[in-house]
Amino acid sequence: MKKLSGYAIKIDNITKVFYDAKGKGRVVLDNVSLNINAGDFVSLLGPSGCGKTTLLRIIAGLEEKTSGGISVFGMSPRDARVKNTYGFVFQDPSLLEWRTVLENVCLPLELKKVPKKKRIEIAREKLSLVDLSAYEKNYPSELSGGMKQRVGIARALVTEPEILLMDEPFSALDEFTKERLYNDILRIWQKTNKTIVFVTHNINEAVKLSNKVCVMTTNSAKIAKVAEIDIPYPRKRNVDFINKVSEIKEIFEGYFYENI
Amino acid sequence: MKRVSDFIYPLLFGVILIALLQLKIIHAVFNIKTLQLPLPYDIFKAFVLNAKDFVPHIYVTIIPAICGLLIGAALGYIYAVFVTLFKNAGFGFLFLVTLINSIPVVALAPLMNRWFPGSFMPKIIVIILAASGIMAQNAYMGLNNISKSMVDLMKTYGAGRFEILGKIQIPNSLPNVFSALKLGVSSTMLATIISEFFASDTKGLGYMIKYTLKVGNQKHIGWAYILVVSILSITLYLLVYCLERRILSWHVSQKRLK
Amino acid sequence: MKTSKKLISLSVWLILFVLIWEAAAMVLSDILHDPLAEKKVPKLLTIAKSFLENYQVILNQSFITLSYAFSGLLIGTALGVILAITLRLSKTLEKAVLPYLLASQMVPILGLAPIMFGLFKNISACRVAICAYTTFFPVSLNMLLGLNSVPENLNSMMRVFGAKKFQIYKKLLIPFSLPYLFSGLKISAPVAISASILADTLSAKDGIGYVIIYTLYGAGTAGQFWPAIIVSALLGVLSFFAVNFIEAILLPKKIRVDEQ
Ligand SMILES: Nc1ncnc2c1ncn2[C@@H]1O[C@H](COP(=O)(O)OP(=O)(O)OP(=O)(O)O)[C@@H](O)[C@H]1O
Ligand SMILES: [Mg+2]
Repeated sequence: MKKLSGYAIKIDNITKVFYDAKGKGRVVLDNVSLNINAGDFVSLLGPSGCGKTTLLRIIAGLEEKTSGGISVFGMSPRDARVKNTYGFVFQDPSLLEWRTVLENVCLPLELKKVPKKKRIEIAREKLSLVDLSAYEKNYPSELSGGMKQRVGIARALVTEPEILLMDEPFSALDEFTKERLYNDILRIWQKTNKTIVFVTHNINEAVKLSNKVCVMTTNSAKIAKVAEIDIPYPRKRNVDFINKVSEIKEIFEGYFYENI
Repeated sequence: MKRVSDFIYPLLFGVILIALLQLKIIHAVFNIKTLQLPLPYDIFKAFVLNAKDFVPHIYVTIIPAICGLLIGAALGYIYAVFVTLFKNAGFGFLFLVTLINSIPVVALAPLMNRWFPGSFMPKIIVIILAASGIMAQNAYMGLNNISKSMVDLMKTYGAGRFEILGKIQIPNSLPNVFSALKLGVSSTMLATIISEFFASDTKGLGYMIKYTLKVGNQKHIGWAYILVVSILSITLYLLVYCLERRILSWHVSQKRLK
Repeated sequence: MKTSKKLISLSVWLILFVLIWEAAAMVLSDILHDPLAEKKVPKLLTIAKSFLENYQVILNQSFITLSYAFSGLLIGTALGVILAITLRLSKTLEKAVLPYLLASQMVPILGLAPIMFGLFKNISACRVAICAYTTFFPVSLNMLLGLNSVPENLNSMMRVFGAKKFQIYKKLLIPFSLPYLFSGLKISAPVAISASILADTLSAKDGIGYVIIYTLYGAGTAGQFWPAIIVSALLGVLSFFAVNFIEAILLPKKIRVDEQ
């Protein structure tokens, strides 16, 4: 199926308008087009409130677009969702408080009716990937914010999804944990060759991780530019890296000056 | 747009329900006779035709209900302040009040009939007990659920125990006072109605409900009385609600000015 | 506050209460020579004695009352939960019915119990029905509150992992609302007891409420009156603690909603 469409995700002139209680419309996404190849690590980069989460939710089929076209491996997002194409890491961890860490990670498999023994085995494997094996019996309320986020990542990986959607998964974490998780996520990506769509408002993070950065701007979000990043992994803070960061910063600045 | 549908759907539901009753469809489904469950039209007719007869019973019921609610609420608030000021002594007292409050009205009402003469006294005592218990618990929560930093702030300005009570704790308890009053409306009405079930007196809405529902051909009148009780309850509730909006909004705006 | 201080405070007040009671009993019988003194405020020793003499009857009758209350509570809870889920399934229906549920909180539902005697020919069914319908309203309202308090992010999470509608109910909505259901039950359980006692007094031939009424109006064994009053008070309190106890067993502490 991947070969058929050539793209993992094909977004064609999508517009999203939110209507408030009085029926007044507000354009959040304005004619957004974006093609994502299978195996890409794409960052959606933009300031707070520019519509990154909204775009991600449309890709996941959680939100309906107002107009335009979108296909995921040639399917509608809804169909793709039912076929378990997606893993999703949410902006907040979104764990079920009454389940232990292990039970939380098992949840997507439970929904797919995977036998109990099998799903525990898979869940344990993913938990060890994010270094939380020792905490499988704890409840979410007993974990730190960073640990909860890692549980969320393990849960997203458990169904071996082809597309991993991540909504600012690291924005609430400290630098040390972040660095570790960057390495984890890159390792997982390179090993499994998944397609990753990664939302962030941190330029360094985008440059560090992805092979494409999609720069989004405020004021009814448009995509200002899609920047290719061809620095070899693992990326250190060298001259290339810093040049890339300033290049992207300039896109934002240029955009803002234009609008003033 | 939204406003209209919020209003239309409940209305529609009510109309459909009344229609189902009136057309005897519910009667047919559950095999009930109209003698058991009167038709809405008959209830309405009884309501209109007997409106004059309702008035004395309404007085007999509503006056002790309102007086009892007010007296009970005041007493309950005094309890709460007492318990707040004297924590150690107060604990046992609050516990006792809660215990007495949890005696079912059904058991309390006949007891009070035995203790006090007439029909007014036993009724109002039951109501006072019910209302004061609810108020004591809620007001105590409001008086004591205050931020420690606020108290520390007052202390740094040299405020004494009573100033803290007057300037912080009592204003802080106002929302709880109103929620106790709102809870109190339905429980005082309940206490009134139930003590009238047991009273020797042959007046009052509670007595009339019990009496008319027992008599075979007067059930529609009993339902009309139930309608009266519901209307009174909701009116009282809305009264408290409006009072709350006025007083608490004033309270908040005062805070903003400072 | 220390437990020892609580105990001291409690015992002092209880002793005070007993003393006042005894004093009142003495004044009535020995000073005022009220002929009804024994009936109005009997000496505590008399009450204790009559309890010992009649405890079998009292316990049997309270068991009858309790079992009606319990059956009613079960049926009322089941119906309340079903209604709440139905309303959650249909927004239109919720809009239509919710105002009536809210209004039920303002009306003395229990006071309307005599209606039931018209509807049911069988007295036992009628007694159960009275208990059921008084518990129904608080339970359904609280359950609906719980179902509607599920955060949107958890809902999205379930959908993105491909959960079907009934799976969302089973694994997210219902477990999430259980604490709310229990706060409804804490209101309902004492009400069910009151309702059952009221039903006894209205037209039954047994139950603790019947004992109270029967002895109050001079018939039957006068000594049963006071023990019956005390036991019926205890039943109300105990039912509340019973619900708390069951909640403590069923729900892990971390996820209970704080009351008020
Ligand atoms: N359900 C909704 N109804 C109305 N407006 C919405 C809704 N969801 C999002 N919006 C609006 O759409 C805009 C974009 O929201 P979105 O959550 O996509 O931003 P974001 O880029 O993810 O921001 P952040 O970095 O803060 O998470 C915001 O202005 C928000 O107010
Ligand atoms: Mg966002």
